[in-house]
Amino acid sequence: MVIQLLISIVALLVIINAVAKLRQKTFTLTVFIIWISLWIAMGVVVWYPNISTIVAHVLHIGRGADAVLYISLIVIFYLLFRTTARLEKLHQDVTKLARAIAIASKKEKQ
Amino acid sequence: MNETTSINPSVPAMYTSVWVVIPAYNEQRGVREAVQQVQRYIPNVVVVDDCSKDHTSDEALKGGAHVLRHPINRGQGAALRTGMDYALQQGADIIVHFDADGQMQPEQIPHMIQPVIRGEADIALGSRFLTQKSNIPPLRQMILKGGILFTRIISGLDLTDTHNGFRAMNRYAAEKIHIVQDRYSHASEILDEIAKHKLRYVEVPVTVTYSDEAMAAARARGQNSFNAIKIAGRVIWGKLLS
Repeated sequence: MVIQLLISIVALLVIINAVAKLRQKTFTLTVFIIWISLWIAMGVVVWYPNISTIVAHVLHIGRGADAVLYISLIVIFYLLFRTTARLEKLHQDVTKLARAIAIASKKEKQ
Repeated sequence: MNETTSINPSVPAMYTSVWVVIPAYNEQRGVREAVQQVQRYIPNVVVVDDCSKDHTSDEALKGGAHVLRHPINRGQGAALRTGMDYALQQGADIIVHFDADGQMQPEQIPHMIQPVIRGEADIALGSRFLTQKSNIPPLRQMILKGGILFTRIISGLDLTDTHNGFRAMNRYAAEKIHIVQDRYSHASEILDEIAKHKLRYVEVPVTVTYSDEAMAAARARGQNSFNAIKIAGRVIWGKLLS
């Protein structure tokens, strides 16, 4: 019971936070939907663990808990990959900026 | 070194559209001398100070170079690209990559640019292994041989030395070669670009001096033999992402 309540509260807080971020436009609609679905799914599975067993059967995985674990891992790997790619892009953009500044403000002898 | 910074009158006129790009990070001890020595052969030198913590920019200016300074440290690859962009803007026909740490010999620049000037190649790459003069420490030699194998597998280029920073290229090559890897993986990246754009390349024998000072400078920049493994990882990772 304790863990159910705890996770539900966390999920609720995260969802409230996500709505705020969507309003401030720091979240795009796609990210918002993915993020919200993830936490709603988590909240549902905590209260009705049998759902994970149904999902597990559909995916031909033995136990519900295993299904949750596998799906979480896939999601985490995907997010990690995307973050790394984003970070790389950001690095390259920063370099372009540094380059433009360096060329625009060429040093002169004093 | 007490020579004047004035340009040597014996510099051939055709060298006036040659630009030497020197990336520099915390090289205040050697950069002025490097610039002055290079200018004995090539008048146009641009030093890209990669946000050094010392007086690299001032020293390079005193040496008589054009000086660009990154507002934040972006790595040697990024600094090279900045210098190349600037040189291209200034109308460079030939661009030379050179280091400020005293490992390379300025008197070899005319040899480097010869195949490019004669139109035999789009890019000339310095090689330490076409001559016996370089005194390369054994561990470094082993790592470099590994780099050769790595390059042959990844980009299919047949080279004797894949991580030599001494290069000369024409404008066409300079415009084609994109360096997106900011740190030291750019050496592999340049080779990839050569393969991708089917640039005509040639190796030119160069001597590299591994003085204690040069090695210490390299270490200060975080460049040591074990980094080679890290670089290989980055190259593969970069390929996965692109």
